Amino acid sequence: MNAFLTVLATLGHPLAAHVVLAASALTLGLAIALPLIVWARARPNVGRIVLGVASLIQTIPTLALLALFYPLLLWLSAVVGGGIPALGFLPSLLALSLYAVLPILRNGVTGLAGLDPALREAADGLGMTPAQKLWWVEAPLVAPVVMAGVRTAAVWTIGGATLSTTVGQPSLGDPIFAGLQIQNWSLVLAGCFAAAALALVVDGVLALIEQGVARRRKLPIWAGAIVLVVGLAAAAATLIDAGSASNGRRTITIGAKNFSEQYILAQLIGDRLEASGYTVRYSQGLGSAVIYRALAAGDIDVYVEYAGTLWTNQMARRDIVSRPVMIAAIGSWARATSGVRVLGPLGFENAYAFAMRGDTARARGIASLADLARQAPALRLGSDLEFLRRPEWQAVHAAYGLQFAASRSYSPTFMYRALESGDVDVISAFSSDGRIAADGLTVLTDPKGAIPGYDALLLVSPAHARDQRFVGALRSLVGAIPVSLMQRANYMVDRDHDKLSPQAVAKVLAAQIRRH
Amino acid sequence: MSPTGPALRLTDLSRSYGAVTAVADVNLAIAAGSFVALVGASGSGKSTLLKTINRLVVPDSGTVEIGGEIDGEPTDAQPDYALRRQIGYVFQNVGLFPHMTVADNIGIGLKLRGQPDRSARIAEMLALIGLDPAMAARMPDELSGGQRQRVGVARALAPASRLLLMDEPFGALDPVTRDELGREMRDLHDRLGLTTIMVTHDMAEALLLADRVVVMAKGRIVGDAAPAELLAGAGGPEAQALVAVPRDQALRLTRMSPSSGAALA
Repeated sequence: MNAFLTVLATLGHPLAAHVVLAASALTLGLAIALPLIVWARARPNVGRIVLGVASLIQTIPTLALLALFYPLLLWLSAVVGGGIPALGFLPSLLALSLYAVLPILRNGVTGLAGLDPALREAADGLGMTPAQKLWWVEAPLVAPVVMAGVRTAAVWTIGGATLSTTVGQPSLGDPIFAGLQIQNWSLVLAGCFAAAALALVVDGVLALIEQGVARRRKLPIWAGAIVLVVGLAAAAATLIDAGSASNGRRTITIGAKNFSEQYILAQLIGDRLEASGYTVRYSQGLGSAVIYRALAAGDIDVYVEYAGTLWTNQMARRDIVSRPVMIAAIGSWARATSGVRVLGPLGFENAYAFAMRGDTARARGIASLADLARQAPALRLGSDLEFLRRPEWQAVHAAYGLQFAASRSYSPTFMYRALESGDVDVISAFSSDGRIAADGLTVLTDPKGAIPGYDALLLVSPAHARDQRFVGALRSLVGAIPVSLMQRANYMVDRDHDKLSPQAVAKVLAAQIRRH
Repeated sequence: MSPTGPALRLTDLSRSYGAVTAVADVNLAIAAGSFVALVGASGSGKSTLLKTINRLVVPDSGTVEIGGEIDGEPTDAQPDYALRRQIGYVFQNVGLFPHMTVADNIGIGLKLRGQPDRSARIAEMLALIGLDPAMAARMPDELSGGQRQRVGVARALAPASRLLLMDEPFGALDPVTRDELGREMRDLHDRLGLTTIMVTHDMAEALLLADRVVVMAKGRIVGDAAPAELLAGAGGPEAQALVAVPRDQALRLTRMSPSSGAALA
């Protein structure tokens, strides 16, 4: 409970960002929906078509819609010669606005269609112009129904905004996504609680306004509007406050993928940059497919990538070379193709590695993959969900001729449990995983060099590639983190008890780096 | 201002909806200050004919000329809505605006004409239709059916329209209110010197209120006579078929009443 409250107290900035995003999306949604309602009001065919399109958009999952805006905006930016951000606020705003359109549009169109025809006849008979009929008769009568649609849209938007974390927009999704990845339930609960509370409060205030509109009472309308404006102003002020601390300098965006090590390293980099006077923000939970392109496009400024991932995914290389050669090749490739700078390796690898229980390995006399190959037909393999489909497995298989008695796939947590309980004998681990040291596992060596190197590389966006102050703030991290330090740091976040936050672990890691 | 409402002349008016002919080549002259009832069965074209006068229905061919102060020819300079502001229109469903008070409903025509101070005229209209001044602040859903139609009439007449079109104005009212309101409308017509055209399917109502009854069937005028002439057997077979119904009812009622029974005995 205390952890929950502590986390809740730190959610000011994500909450403010969430409020501003949701309010902007709702406003844009209204700005799209209202003219469409007016356009469709005397044209049943138009009404059917716009409602159909809006409903179709609604069937796209929010997460997919957010992700689709990334390539769309990249393409658009390329067409107009750059300058359109493809990550962060803009794609979130656009996707959420599209979602907000439907409930408002549907209520408006059906509300107008359901209006008593006698009222239109009376308005016409009195000699109202079409505009007077709209403003004096149709709009006031349909307003309560439209307000009900606005309420629905507001709740949807506030809920959907948590997903904008995945395209790098700060929101209450930050603690939820981070918490899910590192299994820190206080973070998840705090994020969900804050988002739900925000939705309830906004819905309540909008309900007050809706009643005011329906009963034609000005007081509740004004009271509700004032609450909304004050809340939005407070959120905007919080963000502007955070922004002005940078004295007008550009904020640095630090990218991270969606696992503990990435969160810790992002925080470590952020702390370094802040110590050098930069203002930083974090864009976490980015997918492997998006993050490198985001760096090349300047949507994020710095992140940690693994050599083998760039080698196999971005460069489509299948050959295995020595780690220093590989790092050098990646460096020149990145500079030539996108202007991204590889500042250097951090000093540890997060590679696919075969691990066994220490006692089993010693008893069977297995220390390398070559040893393993001889005994594999009597052993069972436990792997993560994707390993057996990855090129790394094919390479190992081809090099050593590994044939296991059986193989099973697990999510990472259960894979370690299965090894511990003896359900499997060998697992496909990650070499920097803290549980290797904590559980006393033996990592098998790769004498034939079949697995590519997965050195953690510090990558810098083209804009800062030659920025001496920026590079200077981070250069001391190069070669500073041996795998034992990273394993211990990861374990502090991943262990089941006494979990620490990535922020706290980053401080611990920083202190240990200084002692080394 | 002339002492009565305007005269009208409808010439060669036709209007069809697809294959259905609602009004077929109608010619009708209406004298200034008269109270004319348009009578006919459902689908006879009487409502369509009425609505060509204020252009809620635009005729396919033919002309509507309105005399007096009303400029009846819609042009670029005078769109349809400007014409309608000069003509009172009352219809069965009333169509009071539910989000406006009684006073605002009555004053809406004045507001459309850009008249800033409306309260005196609204009070005058309330008195004219026999409603308590306290009703002004009520909402339409707080009124009875008869009160609502009274307000509808007040709304139609508030901008000092001298031409009043009524489409089944009392159709939705109970018989007592219907009779009461009919008499009041005839009284208002006489006091204000209106030209009134009322569509109804009720021949008894037409005979009791109007100066002249025009009977329609299948889009054409099939009878046109004063009530006294109709009761004397003039006006053609369609008109006489419609007159026969209330006359027969009245006869049966007279026979049933005890006093007449005693007289017969």
